[in-house]
Amino acid sequence: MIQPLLLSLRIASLATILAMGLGVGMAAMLAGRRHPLASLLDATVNLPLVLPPTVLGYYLLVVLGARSPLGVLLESWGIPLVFTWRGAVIAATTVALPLVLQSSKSAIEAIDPLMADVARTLGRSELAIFFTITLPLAWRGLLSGGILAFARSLGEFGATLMVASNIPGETQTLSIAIYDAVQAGDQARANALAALLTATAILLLVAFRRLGHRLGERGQDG
Amino acid sequence: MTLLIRFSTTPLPLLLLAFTALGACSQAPRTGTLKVATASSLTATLKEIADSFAGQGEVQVAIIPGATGSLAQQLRNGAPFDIFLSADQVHVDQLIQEGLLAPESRMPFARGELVLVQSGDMHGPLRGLADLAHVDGSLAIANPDHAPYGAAARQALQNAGLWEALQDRLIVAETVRQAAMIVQSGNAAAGLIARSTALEAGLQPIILPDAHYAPIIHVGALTLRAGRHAQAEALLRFLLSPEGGRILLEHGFQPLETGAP
Repeated sequence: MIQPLLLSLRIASLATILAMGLGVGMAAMLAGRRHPLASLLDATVNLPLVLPPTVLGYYLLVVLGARSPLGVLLESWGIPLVFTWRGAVIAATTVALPLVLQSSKSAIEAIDPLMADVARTLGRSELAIFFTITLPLAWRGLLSGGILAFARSLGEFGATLMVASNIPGETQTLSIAIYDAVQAGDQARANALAALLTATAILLLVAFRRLGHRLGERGQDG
Repeated sequence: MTLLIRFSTTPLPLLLLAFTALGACSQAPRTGTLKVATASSLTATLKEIADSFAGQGEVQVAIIPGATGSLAQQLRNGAPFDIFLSADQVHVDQLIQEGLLAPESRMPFARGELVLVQSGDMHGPLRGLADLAHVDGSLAIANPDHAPYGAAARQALQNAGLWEALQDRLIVAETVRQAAMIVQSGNAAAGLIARSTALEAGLQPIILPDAHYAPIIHVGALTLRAGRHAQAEALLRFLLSPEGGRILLEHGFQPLETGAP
């Protein structure tokens, strides 16, 4: 019972880290841009918000599965993604990414562009501007994006089941273990697992929220 | 700058990394797990077989239950199973042709039976398929398109001339386990499922002398993936051992001798 929980936390954590890296980077690139290509990329990344997880899982299988060129390549390198915990991380990252992108982009777009322009006239590089202006001013939005991403990853089910199956100890996350217990008619186990997931989710959300408040207060002092 | 430093030292990334490390530790002893993809009608049986088998040596067995057709599809997409236990012969033969299962390992090991189960809330016992015409309520079956017991249920109902009449009262579940759960929870009045699944779910199996369907033969085979578990063949053989046969019989299967159909 503790094993699916640890697996879920591990997969959600890795997916959050990946989604934050990709999402914040993309948000910095896309913020304020109206180029058609930028809009297209934005729409593509946001697709998982609209598409059902089954379609997403199917796409991931088609792109990364054993019968795809990429899947064959990954297999030959000894790092297959589908039907492993890595596949579960990819599925969770894909569904979490739009949430990070959305909230990071609005946070970054809320910053007065004049500040970055002033920094540019003072000879700062774009990277320096990102770390000394964008991040410090937008961190609240980024943090809430990260919390949303973690929450969404922890609850991910549909795409994960399709891409990673239900392998105990490897891809059987808490949400999949609950599905398995319900399928088996094991009501006691289903209840216990569902309670465990609910309690974990509440605990983490409260912890993250308090953390956000604490940082907010400190941020105002500085 | 001070804000930047504070941001980078927030406990959030640390917390995430801690979870990651924690998860990594729990993974370590599971390497070398024998992965058995099994028709869901065999789930409870296989748990007992795995326990009995694991008791003989140091091997951990992971059971991945599913509809035979769904598991076959997962194998095609690269699922890292060591053994495939099918509820029919067709899927195994297809996978052998596709080069995903080892032909010499193909081993029919049990015959399954389709039974009728009924919800506890229902008045009056059912005695056979013919009674289904008068049942007030739904009938749960597994999906005939990828679950062999679902296909058998469809065939039996067609032969009894009931398939058309029952169409709007059918609840099609993903697997026989799910069909059993639907009956068990009272969401269907009756179900046509595997005898083994009825026993697993604690539902009284009603034998159907009037049901006609092609024999349900469970076939096992080893996958052809690189790095297949060393104990895979031994576990498959165990199904044919006297101890394996005893467990199969106890769970509602008819064990097959080596070389039978």
